[in-house]
Amino acid sequence: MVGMCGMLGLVSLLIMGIFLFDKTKENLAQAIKYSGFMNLLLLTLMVVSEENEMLLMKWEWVKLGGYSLSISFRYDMYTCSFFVVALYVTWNILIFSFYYMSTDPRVDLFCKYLGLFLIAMLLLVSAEGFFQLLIGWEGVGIMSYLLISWWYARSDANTAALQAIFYNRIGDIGLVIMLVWSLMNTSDWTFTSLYALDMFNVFLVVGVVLAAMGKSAQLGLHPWLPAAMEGPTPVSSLLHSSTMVVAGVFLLIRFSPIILMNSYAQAGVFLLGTMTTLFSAICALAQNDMKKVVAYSTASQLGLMVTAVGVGVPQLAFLHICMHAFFKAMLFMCSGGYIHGLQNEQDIRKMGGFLFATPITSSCLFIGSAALMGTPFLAGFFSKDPIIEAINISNMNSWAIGLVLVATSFTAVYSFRLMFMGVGSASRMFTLQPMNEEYNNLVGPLQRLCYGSIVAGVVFIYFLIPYQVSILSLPFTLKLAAIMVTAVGGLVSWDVVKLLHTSEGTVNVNYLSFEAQVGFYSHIMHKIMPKVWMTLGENYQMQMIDRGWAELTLPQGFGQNYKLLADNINQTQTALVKMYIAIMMLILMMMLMLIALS
Amino acid sequence: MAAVGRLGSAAVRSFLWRRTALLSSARCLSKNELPGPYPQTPEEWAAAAKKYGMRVEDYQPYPDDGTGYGDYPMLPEEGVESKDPWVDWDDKWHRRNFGEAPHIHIDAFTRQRVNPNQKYVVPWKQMVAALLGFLGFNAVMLYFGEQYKHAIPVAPKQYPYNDLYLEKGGDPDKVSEEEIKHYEFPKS
Amino acid sequence: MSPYISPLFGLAMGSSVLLISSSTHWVFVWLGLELGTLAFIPMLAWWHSSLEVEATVKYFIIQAMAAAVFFFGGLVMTSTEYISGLSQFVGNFGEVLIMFSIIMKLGLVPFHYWVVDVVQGLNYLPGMVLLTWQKVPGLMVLVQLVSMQNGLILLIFGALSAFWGGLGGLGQTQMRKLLAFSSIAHLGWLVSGCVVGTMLGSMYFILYVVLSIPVFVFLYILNNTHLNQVRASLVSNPVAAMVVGVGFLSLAGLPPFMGFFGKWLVLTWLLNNFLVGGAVALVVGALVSLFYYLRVSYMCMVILGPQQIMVSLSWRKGFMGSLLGGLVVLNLLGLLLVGGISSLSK
Repeated sequence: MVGMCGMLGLVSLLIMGIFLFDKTKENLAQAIKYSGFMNLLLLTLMVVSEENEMLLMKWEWVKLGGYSLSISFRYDMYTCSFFVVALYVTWNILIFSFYYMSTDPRVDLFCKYLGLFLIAMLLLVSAEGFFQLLIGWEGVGIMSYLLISWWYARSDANTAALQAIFYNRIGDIGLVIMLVWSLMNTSDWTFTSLYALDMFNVFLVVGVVLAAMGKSAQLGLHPWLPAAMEGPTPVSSLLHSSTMVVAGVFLLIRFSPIILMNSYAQAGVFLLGTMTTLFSAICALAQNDMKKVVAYSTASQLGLMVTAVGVGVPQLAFLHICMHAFFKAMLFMCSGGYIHGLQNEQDIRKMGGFLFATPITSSCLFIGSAALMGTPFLAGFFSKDPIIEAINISNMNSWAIGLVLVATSFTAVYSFRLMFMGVGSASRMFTLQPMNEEYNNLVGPLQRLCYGSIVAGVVFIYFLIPYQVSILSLPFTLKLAAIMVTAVGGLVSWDVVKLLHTSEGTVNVNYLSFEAQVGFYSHIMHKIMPKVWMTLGENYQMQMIDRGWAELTLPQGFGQNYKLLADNINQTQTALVKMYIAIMMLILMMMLMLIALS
Repeated sequence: MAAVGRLGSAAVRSFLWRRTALLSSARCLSKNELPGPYPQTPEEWAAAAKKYGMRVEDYQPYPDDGTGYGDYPMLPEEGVESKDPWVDWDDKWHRRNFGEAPHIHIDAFTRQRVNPNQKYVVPWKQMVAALLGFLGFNAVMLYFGEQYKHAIPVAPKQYPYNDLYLEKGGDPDKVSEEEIKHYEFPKS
Repeated sequence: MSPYISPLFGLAMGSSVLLISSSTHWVFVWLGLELGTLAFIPMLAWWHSSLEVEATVKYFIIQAMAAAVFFFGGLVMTSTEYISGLSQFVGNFGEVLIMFSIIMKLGLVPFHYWVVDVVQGLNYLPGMVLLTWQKVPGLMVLVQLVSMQNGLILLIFGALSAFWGGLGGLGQTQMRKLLAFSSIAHLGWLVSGCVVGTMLGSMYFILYVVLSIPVFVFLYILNNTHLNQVRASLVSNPVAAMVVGVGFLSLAGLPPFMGFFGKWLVLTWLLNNFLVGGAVALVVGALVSLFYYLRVSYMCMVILGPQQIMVSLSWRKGFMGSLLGGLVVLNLLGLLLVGGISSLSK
């Protein structure tokens, strides 16, 4: 029975693939919706069978004996849940993009790109064999590039897309290290054999962590994520909040049994996540672009997910991925609604008072932000709170734990700031803006995702069987730590931001501060790294080795030597027969003497 | 007729002798327009400067220590992005005038690539200090955090049935001897 | 030359081969060799120009000397071992002498000096016959002579030939000299193949003949004697130029053409018999000669001359092209034939 439903999962992928070639984009959205429901059937079956079942399907594409390249699928709880969530969210985003990109001449191609991206992402998530993982990984990277540079005539968009590719590529180095190691050490190139190997190896873990850093914008390889906001809002909402950036975290979750074997690896991952959370939250406080605030919020939540993997609760990290997809996509769609309404104005200093202009969008913004902050019993609470509880009872670096709590409070701070500047305060936008939310394609997805943000937490927790036993006896303060810091942060920020931005005038915000410029990281790195690599590459490798010694020893050197030899040989051809006969007789005598003597 | 053709082609060929730039659609630089070896004499110096369209006073090739580029001039390293956008360039996208010798690393200095002399509003040292300060501070605090790790006190787990005596393979005859109590009633 | 005499010479050449292949006594082998040489000499001097005559005389002198050495070797063999047949090799001194004479006849290093001058002096068609047919008698003797003792000498000479032929052709601009050096190189490969197995040697020889005949003939049609004329051939006669270009690539031993498979078979068999040094030397030589093959192919097939350079279009010779179309197709379809060819040599 499970096998048949697994076939349903594959069939749904195939159907989406087929509908990619359809001329009407609405058909693609319908196909995705129905695929979502088909996968829901599979998920239900998985849940009903006590989540003990796992389905593995494999097709050998290139038969090479032990090293055959195969397309193999692994349907466990993670995959099934993610399929449902991703398909639901993507369906909504597609409908949203019908609204948002309605005036774009290439909107059909856009929807096809989104569909192709989705297929690549689903391939990645359901990958059992590493080859398929690589296909999905690279696929989402490429689609991210194509989609970020959708408006390719804009040079900033091109730069941002290139930046995304570069940082992803650095992560891909790690992925390749992991792939090569597992190719050499596992029997077949799959997750199952890796788990069966039950071995910790530095290369493997470093590779995985590097790959996750690149794809999920952890500290060090993070600048591409805010730059990726150059793409259209549906792209930001699908790729850079719900789906693509969680691929790195998903990889970490898949590899968590191995990472958690070694305490140093675990500590490393934990610290990475912590620093990312804090840094992104700090930077989100001082951004003036609405989409960038949400982008840094995404980066901060990704850091939280990685921290969850590092602290030993990968299942909660996955739960947070699913929950986060709902409300983050919704937040981006709200931004999209505002941006369209304001004629492409994204600066929150020029927004305000939307509560009355666009009530539905603003309420969805509020609900999404509330879910993001971890308001009790909304979606985000059921994943974020257990993660922070788990961090609070772990035996990890105390400064890092403090930083996580600080970052959690910052979540509330920037969410409240965003809401105040955008929704709450007096209106700072131009008059006569066509703020309008009378579009079904805008409101429908928002509402659906809103329901998801509210209800999904309860639904998931009801059906999910936790892998780790949660400790039920916590000190009072630790148990309530997350909610208390959130509340404190929210209250303080609301007050402060009200003081700063009164209706009479706005205080000048320092846009050159450390936070606003993202810690100056991209400025510094983008000057140093290219210079270093260019010097190494151009002066040393290119001039001295490639065009110097390599040329001299091999091609040119051989050429010179052979020229000399050829000159000598041509000098022997004197065209005098007597010379020829003389030489031949001489050689004959010599050879005969040699042979006679031996 | 054939003689006329032969004469004509001979005339064309003699005119086009060493005039490759006029010959075919495949333009190629002639031998004396290409970069050459490092100029040794002042005449070569002047000729090279003329070749690149520069004044002799401005012309300075890379030093000939094995990492040089022959007689190609050493232009100041500036990215295209930092050239003045309001000057009336011949080629506006590349911000270059016709006949001007581009920097030897022009492929790295284009609009969306390396810009060595990019001007920052915040001074460079301040930026580096801020970033390193932040990271350094965190590193130091994290070090101390490792020394004093967070841990909530826990006791060892208490199992029932005499610490699972029988389940762990204890001798059934000796059950009554080991009596482990995990609790105590307070004496009133 | 009168059309009544040339068939006689042709017949004599054919019968010489028959004589060599069917005789058991070495004297008759010698007789056959001499017959072949003597019958061929007048055909070389067809055109009566001084260049041709000089080449003919050089050829005659060298071949006569080789025949004398052959006879001497035969005498030594008979006097010391009392055997008269070549196929009962014992590895004595006379045999070595005979082998050296055959090497002289074939034109293998270090007795190759005459090949270049003779081929340069002659026109393409007699040169072609010289390089292809006139090797048959020599090869037939050679394959009977190869034994363990002689093998090493032949291998060394073969490897040296491949290298020498490669190096020699590097500076050549005359096409015939180029082809002479290339034939020296190919002869080196051939002889190495003979060392391994007679069937292999014959296979390589047949492949070489089949792919060099179109090259010669089409060069004759194009009337290209110098490299500069090859450069203009694409404009004047594209089909012939293409055939020449492909033929040179095939001679160079590039897949998927047929020349590659000969070389590949020789290499495979050498390695099967653990003669790695010889294989490496042969390959190095082939790499060196690759340069001039590629240069000629490049000029034939890639360069498009911007101006009309006057070349003599010879329409009288055009009929030969159609006869050789089959051979050309064979050249290109080497990929399909390799299965059959490799199984034949086992």
